Amino acid sequence: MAIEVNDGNFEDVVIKSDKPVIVDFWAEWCGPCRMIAPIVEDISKEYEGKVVVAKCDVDSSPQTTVKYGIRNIPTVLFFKEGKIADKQVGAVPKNNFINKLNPLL
Amino acid sequence: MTVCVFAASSSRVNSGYGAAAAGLGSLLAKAGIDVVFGGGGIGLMKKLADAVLENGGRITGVIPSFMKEEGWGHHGVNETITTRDMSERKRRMFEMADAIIALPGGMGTLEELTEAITLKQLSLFDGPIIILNTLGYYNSLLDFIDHMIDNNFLRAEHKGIWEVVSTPEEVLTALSRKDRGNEEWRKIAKI
Repeated sequence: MAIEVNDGNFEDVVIKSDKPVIVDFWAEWCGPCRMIAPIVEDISKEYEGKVVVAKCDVDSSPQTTVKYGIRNIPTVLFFKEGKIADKQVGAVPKNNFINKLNPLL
Repeated sequence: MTVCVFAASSSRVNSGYGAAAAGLGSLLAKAGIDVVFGGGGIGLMKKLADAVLENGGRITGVIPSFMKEEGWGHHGVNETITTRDMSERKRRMFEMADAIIALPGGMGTLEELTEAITLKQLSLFDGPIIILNTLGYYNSLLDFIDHMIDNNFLRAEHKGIWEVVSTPEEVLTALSRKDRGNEEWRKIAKI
């Protein structure tokens, strides 16, 4: 299961994590976000224990959304040691995410 | 290209609506665009279908069996697909359509139009949705949509899902437009 993150816990869950973290910025009304939601869930299962998979609802986390300059969703940010290591915007096939995630392990 | 046209079954409406439905049917036929519609032999549906056929076009009716049994179907169309019920009718029409055009109509037309918009909002349909606002028929609906946006029940960006035009000629222009941003609607939403 992906962890829900927001303005309150983003620092603790994402920035301070000792594992790579991917954060899926999404919103309930966003069709393309629904298309990648199952992919994000799959990744959270397949990489359990190796990667932290988080979801951030842009409508309820305005500070984080502005801080990371999220203008289009879905945007998936890849964090390593608290810093952005990669980024994927839009509904794309699962392999695009895997190819960006594997080098961070 | 196949377009799905939703339109009234009522025949009691102002003749201006019928003229626009016929005008659209004629233009679609001449442009070589195939038409799918609700299969009715009454109202604006009949005006549309007759004009398509008179101008050598191709039109397929999708009609639930109970309506066919009632004798509401159009008998001259190139093909009739009979469905079990109203839901299957809509699903079949959406599956066949590259674009949706809504003419003036009653509750049936309204729910078909709003389902098309909802499907596109959810990325389950990605073609153009064109509202033919003959004689300003849909003005109060468009005002209500603004009211939805003003009250945050709908996002202003979603107004880009459909296009409103006033004449059948403008429908053809809207259909031929390349930069519809369909790809973007499917893959990205702006916040």
